[in-house]
Amino acid sequence: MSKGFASSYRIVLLACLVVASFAGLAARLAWLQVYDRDELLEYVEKAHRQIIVETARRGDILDARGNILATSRPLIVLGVDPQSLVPEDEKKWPQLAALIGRPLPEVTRILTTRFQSAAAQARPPEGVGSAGPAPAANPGSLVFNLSVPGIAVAGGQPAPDEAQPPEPPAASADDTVTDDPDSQGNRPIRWAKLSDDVLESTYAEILKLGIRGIYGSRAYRRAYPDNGLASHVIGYVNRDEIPVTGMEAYADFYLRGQAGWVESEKDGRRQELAQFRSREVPASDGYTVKLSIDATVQHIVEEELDFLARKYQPEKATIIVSDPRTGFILALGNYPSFNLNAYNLLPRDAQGALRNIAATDEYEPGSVFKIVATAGALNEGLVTPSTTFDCSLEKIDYDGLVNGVRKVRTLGLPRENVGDHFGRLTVAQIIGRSSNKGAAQLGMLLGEQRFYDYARAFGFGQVTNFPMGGDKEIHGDLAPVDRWDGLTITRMPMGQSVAVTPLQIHQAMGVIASGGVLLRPQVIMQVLDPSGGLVYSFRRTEVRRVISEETARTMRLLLSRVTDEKVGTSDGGTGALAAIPGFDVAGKTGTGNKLEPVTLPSGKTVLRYSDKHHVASFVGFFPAGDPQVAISVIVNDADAHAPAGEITGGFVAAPSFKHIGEQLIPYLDIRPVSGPPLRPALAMEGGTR
Amino acid sequence: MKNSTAHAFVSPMLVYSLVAIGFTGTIGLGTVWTRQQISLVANDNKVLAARIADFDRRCDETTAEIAAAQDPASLQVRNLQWHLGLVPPGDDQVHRVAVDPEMRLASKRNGGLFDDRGVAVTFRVAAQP
Repeated sequence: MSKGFASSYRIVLLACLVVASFAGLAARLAWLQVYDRDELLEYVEKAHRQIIVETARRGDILDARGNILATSRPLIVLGVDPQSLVPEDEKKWPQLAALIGRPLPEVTRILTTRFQSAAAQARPPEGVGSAGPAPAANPGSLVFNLSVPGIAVAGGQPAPDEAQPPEPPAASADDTVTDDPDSQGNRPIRWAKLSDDVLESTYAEILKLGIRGIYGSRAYRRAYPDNGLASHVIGYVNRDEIPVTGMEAYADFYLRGQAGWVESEKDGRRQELAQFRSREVPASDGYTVKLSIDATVQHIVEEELDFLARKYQPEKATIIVSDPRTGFILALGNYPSFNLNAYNLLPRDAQGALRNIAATDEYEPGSVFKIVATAGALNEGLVTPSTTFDCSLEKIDYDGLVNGVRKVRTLGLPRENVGDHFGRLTVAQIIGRSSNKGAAQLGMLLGEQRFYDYARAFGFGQVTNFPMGGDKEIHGDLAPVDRWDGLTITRMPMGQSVAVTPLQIHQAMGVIASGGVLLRPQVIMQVLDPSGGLVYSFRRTEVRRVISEETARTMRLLLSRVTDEKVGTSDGGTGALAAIPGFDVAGKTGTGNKLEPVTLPSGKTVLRYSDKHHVASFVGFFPAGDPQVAISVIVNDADAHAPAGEITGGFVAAPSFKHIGEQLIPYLDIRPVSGPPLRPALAMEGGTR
Repeated sequence: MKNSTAHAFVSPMLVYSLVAIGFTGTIGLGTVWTRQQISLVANDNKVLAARIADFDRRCDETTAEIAAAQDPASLQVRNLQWHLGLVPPGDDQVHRVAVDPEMRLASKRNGGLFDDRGVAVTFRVAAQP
């Protein structure tokens, strides 16, 4: 056997060294595991596993032409950890204050407030980081530390630059986040909000200052580029990212997206150790919702509302524009309205502006409701356009129901509008000149039950299921026949004793424009995924057929007489100011007296029709032969600023219809209907002219 | 020098131990190096993902600004500020073309090429003797 390369002494020595080395390692391990255990465990705790939640971007709301009506704008929520500030950075505080646009003393106070006293904890935090009216609860991506129950730490994704700042230690529904209290009950502040609307570019400059302890977390904030445009349709998302009204609330299922998360670990400086990511679920951004609203048409409508507000200073007003062939709403505006970007600045007494009164407020429609009795009588074959009625009668015998019992009784007919005295009128003239007595007789001809059934069929007394009304959409007031008093059959056909929403009356006029079918008013056209792919497309939705196509055509002829001739002439229509040269316009004026409380000598308070407060409206469509656009203008209480005798729908609302219509003609490329004109056909049916 | 059985045992044992230490050390160093590379790649990926997210966010921000600039009310204000005098077209300015627009444009363009009016044509007729 060979002697080998060394002596046994040396070999033993070497072996001892090797063994000693291992022994040293073992000792070191024991030292780390036993002696330094607590210190190292604390370090490990800091590098504990965490879940980083990635907030999904809320989808956009687009108009029919792809213009953005609501979008999610990225912003930085800037905060500070007062415990991490160093004195050398104090000279940079003025620059910081200038960049975030806050007074230096205020910023200094936030930066130097290092503890939240026990007394301060008992009341809502004030002063420290009170940057806005309400803090953001969802500032970008949240970080959940698994070692602490609940949400312990929150922050944004790290900045993309190389020098990543430590993730913000906290963000909550409050402006400050604190650590556990000390022995005196004071909690060290670990995060205080400096600003919640810092732009990316500004944040880059803030990072360049290199102030230790200043952290930003990325967040999305809902932005409405058009401010108040279509505010009641779009609705808004509050500061806590909770959708409150309008499309934001209705389509939240599509818009909100789904947050993603990453299970990972972090080091002692709270920086994520990306190599230890174990599970990763990417965030799914919300879908885009494309509306049928056209921003330009909406703008035209809102300009008209502004004009009406300036001229008449009404209590409220609504204008709705739709495509009667499909039921899709092109524009819906209300007065008063509000700015979606500043909804929280509305004074308390102006909160009513948040309501979409087109779906949530009811009014007595007045003469527009005459379309129900007329269309019903025509559809039942009880009358033709040339059938005449004596509209000079004061009373009339009627064989109808009273409290469920049929008997003949003499009913007083309603008065005509001020200044109107008619003799015998054809059905065409009753509509054209808006005779109350004529409408009452048409209603009586139908009978209570059939008239009620037609009113229901036209959509009155039930919700339209229009998305924007939300839970607050009302069904109006259409009492069943067994609750009618003796005069209801003479009053309801002229639009009294019934309450409707602007949307209902618009939908009812759409029945005539669409050829006799009640269409569901819709505002969502398409739902698109974040890459623009079509997810779902909404189509025309028929609720029911109300009248025959032939009756609808006849009604269009009759309603086109409303805008015929000049107001004031013996044979003129009440809505002549809505006439658009070159086009056949069909529509109906309405002037409903408002109910107001009156105290009787006995002290009892009752509701009486007011002669001083009215709701003026014009609801119509054009071209009458082939309706392409339906417009409803409803102005509530324009009396105070309307010239005497000009408080009717024909004077207040009809001009707005015309003004809007004239602007829509070139924009929507609406063309006059070629072919034989409507009126000679009407004359052949026995019109008086 | 006298050889012993212990010496015969320790010598190869030492060699094997050193080889094993070297081998495991190499594996250990390789593992550390691999983990380091994984860490670097993971961090690079993270930074890249953050940069992509940042670009997306800046796109969103720019899109929002463009949308705000296209607000009809803002455009009207700029129209006034810059004295552009732009107004929506009135219906009297719109000329509706009922015929095929291509044919209409073609006839308008080529209308002058040929004289469409009637032209007097004279024929000389010679009487035969």
